Amino acid sequence: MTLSISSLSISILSISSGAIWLPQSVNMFWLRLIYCGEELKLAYNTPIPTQGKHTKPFWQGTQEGKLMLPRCQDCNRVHWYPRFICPSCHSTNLEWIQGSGEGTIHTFAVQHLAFGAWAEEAPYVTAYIDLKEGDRMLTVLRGVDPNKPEDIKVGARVVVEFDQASEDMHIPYWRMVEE
Amino acid sequence: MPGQLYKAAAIVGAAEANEIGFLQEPATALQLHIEAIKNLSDQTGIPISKIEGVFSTGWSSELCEHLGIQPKYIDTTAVGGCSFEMHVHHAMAAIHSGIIDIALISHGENGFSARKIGGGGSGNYGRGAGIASPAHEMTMAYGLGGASSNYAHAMVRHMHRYGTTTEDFAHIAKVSRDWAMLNPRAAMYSKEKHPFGGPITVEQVEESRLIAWPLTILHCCMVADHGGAVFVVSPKVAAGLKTKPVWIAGAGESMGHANMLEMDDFTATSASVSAQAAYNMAGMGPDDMEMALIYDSFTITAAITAEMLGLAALGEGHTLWKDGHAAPGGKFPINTNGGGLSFNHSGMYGMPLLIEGYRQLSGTAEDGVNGDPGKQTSARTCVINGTGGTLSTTSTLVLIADD
Ligand SMILES: [Zn+2]
Repeated sequence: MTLSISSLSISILSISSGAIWLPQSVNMFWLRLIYCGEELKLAYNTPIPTQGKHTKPFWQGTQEGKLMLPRCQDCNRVHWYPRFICPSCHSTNLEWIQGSGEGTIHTFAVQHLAFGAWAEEAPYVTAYIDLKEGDRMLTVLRGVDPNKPEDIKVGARVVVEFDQASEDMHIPYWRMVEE
Repeated sequence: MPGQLYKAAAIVGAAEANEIGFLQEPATALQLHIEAIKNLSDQTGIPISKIEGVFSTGWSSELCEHLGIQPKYIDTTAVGGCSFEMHVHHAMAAIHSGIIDIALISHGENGFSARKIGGGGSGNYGRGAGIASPAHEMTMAYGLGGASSNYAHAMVRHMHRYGTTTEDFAHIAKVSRDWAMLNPRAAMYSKEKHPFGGPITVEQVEESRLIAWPLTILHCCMVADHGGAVFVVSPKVAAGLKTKPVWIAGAGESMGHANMLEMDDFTATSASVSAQAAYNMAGMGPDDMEMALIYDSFTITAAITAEMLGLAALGEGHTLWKDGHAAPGGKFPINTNGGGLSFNHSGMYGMPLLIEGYRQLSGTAEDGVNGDPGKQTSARTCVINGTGGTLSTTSTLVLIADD
């Protein structure tokens, strides 16, 4: 029985302490779970980023279910992606703050032609998210029907959630919430 | 007697990254760049925001995005270790001609650290940080692939903001095909030439295969093979040639971002800035243009760019095609070769723009090989705009015919 982690991440990972981890390759991570005599196999098959040198606080945050964002201590602006220098005022006094995990859809598209592991997921919805704290993130949008793009609204509210992709990597995804 | 560039420019500061050498704590090449730039700014008192030209071995657009600046001159000459001296030479010419006053030449290369953390070590020139860049790190998980997967987001935002429809943009594909059917060298010239060639309707564009909603395949340029070259020479050389000159009246360049994640307004590109520079140099404006050649990677690219070039009001770029002005016989021809949509697009379409611009303004657009009767326009002026990356970088030219 193979299930996508997106549908099962919360329920399964909450009891994953008894799981046996069997990492098979850098890009593929299998969680084998013996539960009530039934074997479940969870896969995170799509690409997993390599942690950068100055982005560790972000990835550490995702492990704890927090969306950490870089903010400039001089102009107080949040920027995304993480920089070595503030792109607004060019200060290097940067800090990490915990974001609210809330945002809105800036724009989106439905990917019908996809490559690699994502080809099996198509069609899926990609979106740019305006963060409540400012600036923007890319995501694969959840809680939407890719076959009904006319029902997805620019400006709709979204919240962040995290998928465990490997032993030390949790990937943020955004989900549209009902108004 | 010294040449024109003699003392045209001076080096006024020089700085390095915070730590250099065999670093205990490995550094990325991007970090080495940024630290050196910050230290140079501190040393000279020149704010980073005042930098007008950026010269590096393939890093320039990434550096500008990281710094949040939009320069007027972008050079990425990357031919090995001597590139930086060439950057000085190119910066001298740009300063001498009055395009810029402040040029940044930047270097960052983690030849040692790369052994531990990978990335821009030796021999990486010309590629920027690539997969080691933080922009890549924060976007690579989310299933974007080819250009279409990115550009579709711009069309959705344009539709949201201006109430445009996929049908509005479909007219651009249809009109471009009409032009291609006058160009025997166009890939989509005819059914005989390509199974998908020959005439198309707006309905067919709408109903063709979905690539990235709302883009169907006929909203997207092809990926084919192309080779091309042009000579740019002095007036003295031009006077002695058998070919007709087409004069470069204006040129400008700009950029908004490197990665679409950093695109501020998804319905606007830096072409508004590069076009203004080109128009200023030419002493002309959009009303003086008699035709246009616009990089049409996607129909949305052509529509937005027409707006940025001042050829149509914001939100109304598509009307140039929809109302028939851009079509063969129309009052404002656009993409007379058939464009990237129906002529040819190999990945970087800037060269075909130059070639068709030359042909139209030198009166050679209808030679039977590169054009059938009806392709040559009467235009004497032409605005050309290339777009690079994901609606990232732009360059605009104003060409005028010889008297
Ligand atoms: Zn700041």
